[in-house]
Amino acid sequence: MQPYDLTATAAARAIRAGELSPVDLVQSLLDRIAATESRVQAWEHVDAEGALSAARHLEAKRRERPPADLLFGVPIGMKDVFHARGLPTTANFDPYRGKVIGEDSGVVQHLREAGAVILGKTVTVQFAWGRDPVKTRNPWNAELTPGGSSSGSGAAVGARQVPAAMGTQTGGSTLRPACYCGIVALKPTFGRISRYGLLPVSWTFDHPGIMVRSIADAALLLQALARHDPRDPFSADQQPEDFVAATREAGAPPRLGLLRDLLDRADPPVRQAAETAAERLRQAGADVREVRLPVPMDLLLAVHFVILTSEGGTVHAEQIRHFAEHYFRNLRASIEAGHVLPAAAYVQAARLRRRLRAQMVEMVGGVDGIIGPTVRTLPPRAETGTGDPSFQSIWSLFGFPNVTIPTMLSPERLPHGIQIVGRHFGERELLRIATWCERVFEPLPSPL
Amino acid sequence: MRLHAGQSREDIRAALNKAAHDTWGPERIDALAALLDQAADAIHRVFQEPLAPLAEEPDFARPLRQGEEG
Repeated sequence: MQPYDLTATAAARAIRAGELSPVDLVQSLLDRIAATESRVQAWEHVDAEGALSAARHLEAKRRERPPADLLFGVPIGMKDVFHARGLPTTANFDPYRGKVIGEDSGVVQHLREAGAVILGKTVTVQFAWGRDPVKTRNPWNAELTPGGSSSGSGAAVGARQVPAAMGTQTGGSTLRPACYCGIVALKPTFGRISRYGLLPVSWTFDHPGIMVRSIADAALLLQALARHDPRDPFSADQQPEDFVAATREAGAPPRLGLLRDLLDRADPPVRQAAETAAERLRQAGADVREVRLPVPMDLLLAVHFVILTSEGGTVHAEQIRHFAEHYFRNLRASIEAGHVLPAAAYVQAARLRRRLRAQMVEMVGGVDGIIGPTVRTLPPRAETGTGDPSFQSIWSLFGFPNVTIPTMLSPERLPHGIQIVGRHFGERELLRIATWCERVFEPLPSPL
Repeated sequence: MRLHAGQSREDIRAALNKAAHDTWGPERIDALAALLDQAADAIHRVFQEPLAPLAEEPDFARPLRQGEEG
């Protein structure tokens, strides 16, 4: 096993034990990127010099005293919509190229305070919104999309170029690329992780997301990131919790609600894989029963669309008038359409969202977790876009925390995954359930 | 554009087309067609759901407090 094969948890443990140097880990990942990047194209900017410098500093610090920091020496990729001091935030938008940012986002600050090393910026769909194709390719099949908008983060972790990366999700932009790339992701409750210094898509929907190779890794990063940030007006102020402890013992078999609405809408191979996964969970002892959404899915998606398009259109209203030609085709159309949606429609959708939330909370609260296929289809061809976000958008709409775990490979050697949805601020229980479920399935091999 | 429950999807689509034409110019109408179709569907759908008059929902404008379920 090479250092680049290590999960974040294993790397942190090895570094703490003095078995692995932070410098050697960074160098191993840089070598891995050099060997695979022409195929994957996950990175907007690899900060080799900055990462090695940070790793050398940590190595010197480790010699002085044993490190206690959670993520000491662990390299992490940042979706190129998070500000990081000394690096540009390009968001795949030409007018932003070369403009170096002078301050860390809240996420980058909290990761650095936990001892992490920022390896660089990963490719994003332009401004993290929409389905315009990106240069990044799926590590399992270079003709297919890695998903989006956290395309580079999903592909980089999937290709073992970095043990962990940050994404964002407004509709389906963290869980979908994670599923397509065969990795684990956690989208926490809305407000759990700071959005300070994160370029916005839609202010009532944007969630930072964690993209890793195990549930233990997801808990480790959440432990470092679940902090109140007074600079973010939507930041939750919760009591500290031990998320890592929740993954040490899987505990009792969970009661899971298998969502029939997602099974009915999924493509046949995805539906079959999800039903197979559910049956394996049952055989392992989980209580799996079918449940249905309390409201029609098309209504949820319509509410999400109206709010997202209105808010997103507003975010870009001024900039698009000066730089329209730099916006990609589909994103430009979304912004321009959003700008002409009537306010009455936005208010109607916002009122519905508030009313529907109570019904969704009751459904989710009736079991330990809601499960279903993470995505509607297997990854489509790269030139067609980044895939369908509908299976994740219905949870982003209400800010529920959810995870995706890989379950098996298709006959074409493409990853399948299931998502598990939990209660608001119930990440401890969600991570416990996800740990239990994760142990039912064989880990996927490396795609490269 | 004036919206009301029961307005047809076609009327909504026509109103969006006019708004886009006036805001972005006729040269953008073809590029926006698919999004305006989607927007008309979504707006029509959300207005199919009856809601009490806003005056009967005085708390609407108040942000949900943490842990509150609406």
